[in-house]
Amino acid sequence: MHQIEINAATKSFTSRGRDIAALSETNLDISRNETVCLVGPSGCGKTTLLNLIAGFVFPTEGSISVGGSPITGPGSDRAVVFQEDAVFPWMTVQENIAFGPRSQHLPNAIVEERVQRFLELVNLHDFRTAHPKELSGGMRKRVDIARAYASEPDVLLLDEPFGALDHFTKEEMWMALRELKNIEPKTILFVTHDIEEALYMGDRVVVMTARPARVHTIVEVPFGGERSLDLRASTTFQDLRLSITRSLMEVNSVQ
Amino acid sequence: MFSDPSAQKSKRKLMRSRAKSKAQNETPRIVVGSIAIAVVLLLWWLLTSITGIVAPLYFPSPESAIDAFVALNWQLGIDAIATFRRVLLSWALGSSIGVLVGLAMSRSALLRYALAPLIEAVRPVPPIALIPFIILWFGIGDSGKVFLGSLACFMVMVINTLVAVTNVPPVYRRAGRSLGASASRINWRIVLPAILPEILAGFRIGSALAWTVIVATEFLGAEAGIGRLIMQASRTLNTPVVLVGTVAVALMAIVLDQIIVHVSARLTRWAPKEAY
Repeated sequence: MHQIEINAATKSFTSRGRDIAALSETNLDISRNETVCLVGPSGCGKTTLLNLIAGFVFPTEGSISVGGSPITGPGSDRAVVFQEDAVFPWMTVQENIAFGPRSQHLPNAIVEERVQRFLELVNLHDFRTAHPKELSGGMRKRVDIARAYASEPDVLLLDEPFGALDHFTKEEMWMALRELKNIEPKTILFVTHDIEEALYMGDRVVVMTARPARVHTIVEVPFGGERSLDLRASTTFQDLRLSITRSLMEVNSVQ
Repeated sequence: MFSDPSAQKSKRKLMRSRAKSKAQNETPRIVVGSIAIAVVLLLWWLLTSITGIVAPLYFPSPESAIDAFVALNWQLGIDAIATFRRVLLSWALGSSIGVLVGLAMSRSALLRYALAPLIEAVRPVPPIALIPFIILWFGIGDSGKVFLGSLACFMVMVINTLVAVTNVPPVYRRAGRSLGASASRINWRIVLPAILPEILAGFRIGSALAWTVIVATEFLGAEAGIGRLIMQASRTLNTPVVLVGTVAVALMAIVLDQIIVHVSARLTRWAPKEAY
């Protein structure tokens, strides 16, 4: 059994009396502790797929199950890191990280332990009593990731989490998230429009078609768990980037 | 992991900015503000007492205002307390009911559909226009005045709260739900803190409105109150007392406003932009 099973999922929205298909008969299985990156033309419905798995919206047709059971709504087994700044500005860093465990009514000792552990892992221990407004964009993203990890979900859904960061901060975040993945393995669905990001983060890269989105091609990424920034000099990396770029061009020209 | 030399640097920067942000920009503000007030006071004294360009009937001199203040003695205190009490009561009552009804309306569509048209119909009416009815219904006692003051604050806060709840970025609610928070936890720990800055700003507007409405109701009759004091003095063209009464209202309004500002600043220290 796969951790996430998407069977012929279709999602259409009604806007001004017209049906708009965002996602069309999509099939995708994601194994436990696998990282799958979704790339595709902007506005193609990648986020719709993520929202379906998160349980914010429900499929018009088809089914999606996580851990063998169908999705009935959002839940702490699936944490989301959003593209927007979603860290609660009225809470300190440690209160943000504690929010998930406290929502699950865990005993204080466990909440404390998780807050400490993830503060260390994202290297924000010195800032635990700071409010988000006192942090840089990259640091706020780290709080967001720590908060998602601290509720110990089975699945992590990342919706272009580093889209608003500058390139160097972004590279720093890739490396950091990779290390975090090695220490605390999770099933991850990572929506991005950055091919390099997809190749650094993903075990597989799924190229989606233009709206309505469906799976176009799936690329296996053969780099294993240790990926350094030097990787992009390798010919395999270049070849993969080129082939994904080609798929994206193909997908875009159909539009 | 996430190791960066910049962390230490920004930590230091954070400490420094915390210490600095308070002292910075304060000195020129206070100096320039004090000079402006001093200039106006000096002009007042020059135009009335020294040169006599402005006749005492149109605007009293500082000396006559001080004389009036001394002559009023206890009376000013009694009137001031009566007005302050009414303002505080109507502001606290109207604002809290306004917030509660606003929150209830944001939760229940049925309540929203029922109350929104009523509120929208009453809202544009200046509260002062209702004074004749209020006198008919309540007489000239306290209850009518407090009712009208509360109504004004209620209208401000009900709309303010509704708008504030609508303005909460949906991503906060979604984040809360995906972290496993219950509906009530989302309301208490996400929606309420998120709307707090707007609620507090509404409190400020409401308190200013309460002063206007209460003093206006006192104009039309009251046993005690600054509005009554001003109106009585104006009937006998006693402009020094009119001025003393006006200044008393202004000072009290500033005190209440500053209390709200300071409490707000303390409660919303986390807010990204300076709200005040």
